[in-house]
Amino acid sequence: MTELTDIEGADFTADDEKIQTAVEEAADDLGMTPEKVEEEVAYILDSGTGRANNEGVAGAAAADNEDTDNDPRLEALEMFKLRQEL
Amino acid sequence: MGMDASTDQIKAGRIDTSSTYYELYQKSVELGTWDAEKLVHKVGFEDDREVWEGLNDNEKEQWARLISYFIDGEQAVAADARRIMKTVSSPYFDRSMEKEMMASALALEEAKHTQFFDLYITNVMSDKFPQYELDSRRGGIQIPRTEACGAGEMFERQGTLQAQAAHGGDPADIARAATNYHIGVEGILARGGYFAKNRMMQEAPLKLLNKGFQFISTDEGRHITFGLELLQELIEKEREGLPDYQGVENAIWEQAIEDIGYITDTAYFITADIDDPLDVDFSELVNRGARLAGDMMFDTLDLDAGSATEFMQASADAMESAQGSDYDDVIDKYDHIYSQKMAGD
Repeated sequence: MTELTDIEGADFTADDEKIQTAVEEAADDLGMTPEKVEEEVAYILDSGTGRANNEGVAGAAAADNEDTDNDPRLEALEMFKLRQEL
Repeated sequence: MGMDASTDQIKAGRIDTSSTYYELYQKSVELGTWDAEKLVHKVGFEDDREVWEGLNDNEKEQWARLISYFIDGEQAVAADARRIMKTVSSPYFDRSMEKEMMASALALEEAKHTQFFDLYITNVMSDKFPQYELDSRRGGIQIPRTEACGAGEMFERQGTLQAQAAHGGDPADIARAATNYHIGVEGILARGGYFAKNRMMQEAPLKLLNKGFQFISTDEGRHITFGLELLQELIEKEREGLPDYQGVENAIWEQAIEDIGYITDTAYFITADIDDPLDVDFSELVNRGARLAGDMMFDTLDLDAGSATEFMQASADAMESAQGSDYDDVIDKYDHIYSQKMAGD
C-alpha cells in the first residue's frame, strides 16, 4: 500500500504538514491510530495502485467542500470520517 | 501499531493475507460496507431537492440521462456479479479463496449502488423519471434513455460476455468479459460519469448525490484494480507460452475497441445531444475516458496487442460516428414498451 504523501496523479494543494495534522485530529476523534487513518485515506484515493485515480473523490473537491482546501487527500479524509458514521 | 493495527500484521491460517486479492477484499470490508440508508438519513434529501427544483428542464434532463445509465448499469453489474463469482473459480486462474472473497464483496457493493440510485431518484428526481421502477429481473426493461444510447447495448453485451466466461469459457472469453466489465463499464463509462458529475456539480451542487458518488467511485476503484489483477494473471500465462492462454491480449484489445463505441455514444447522449446545459464538454469527456483507458491498458497491463495511438484514433472515429446519432425515436419506442409493461400488458 502507498503512503498518503507518496500518491501521484492529482493536484495536491495542501502541504504535508496540514495533511498530517488533519489525519491526527481525525484519528483522535475516531479512536484509531493516525497510521490506520492514513492508510484508509490513501486507499480511497488510489485503490492500491499508487496513483490518485478516484475520479469521484479526487475531482470533486473544488466545488463541493471549501473546508478541504481543494485537496483530494482532505476530501478523502472527510469522506472516511463520514464513512465511519455509516 | 496501537489500537487498530494494519491487517498485514495479523497471522492467518488458510487465507493468504499477502495476496493482493485479500488486500482488496479487506479494504472492501473496511471501506465498502457503508449503509446507503444511513447515508441518505445522515445527509438528507432536503438540500438536493431545493437545488433540483431550481434547475430548468434541460438541466434536469442532463442529470436524468446520466443517472439513468448509472442505475441501470449498477443493476446490470450487480446481476453479473454472480457470474464473476463463478468465473474466478475457473481452472484457468490460480485457484484461491481470496479471489472468491473479493468477488463476493463486489457483489454486495454493486447491489448497494443500485439501492442508492433507487433511493435518490425516488426522493429527489422522480419528476424526470416517470419510468424507472420496473425491475429487469421481473420482466421489466432498462429505462428508455438507457435503451436509446450505447450504455444500454453495452450492458446487454456485458451479460452475454459474462455468461460465456462463467459457463466453461476459455481464457480469451474470460479476458473479453473482464475487459468489458472492469475496464469498459467500471473503468471508463462509470469514471467518465464521475468526470461529468464533477462538472455538472459546479452549477448544480447536489450534495447527497455527490456523497453517494464518492462512496460508489471508491468501491468501483477496488473493483477495477481487481479486474486488472485478473487480466494480468491471464496475460502472464499467455506470455509464458501456455497454449490455452494464447489470444488473451488480442481479446482484451478487440473488446476495448468494441466498447469505446458504446461509451462514446453514451458520452454524446449525455452532453452534446442536449446542448450540454451544465457544461460537461463532450470532447473533454471523451479525452478523459481515452486517457483512463490508456492508463489501464498500456501502463498497468502493458498491452502489446494495440497501441495508445490506435486507441485514440478509434476513440476519435467513435466521436464522429456518435455525432450522427438520433435518439428521440428510440426513446419514444421504449417509452411505449415501458408503458405497456407498467400496465401489465
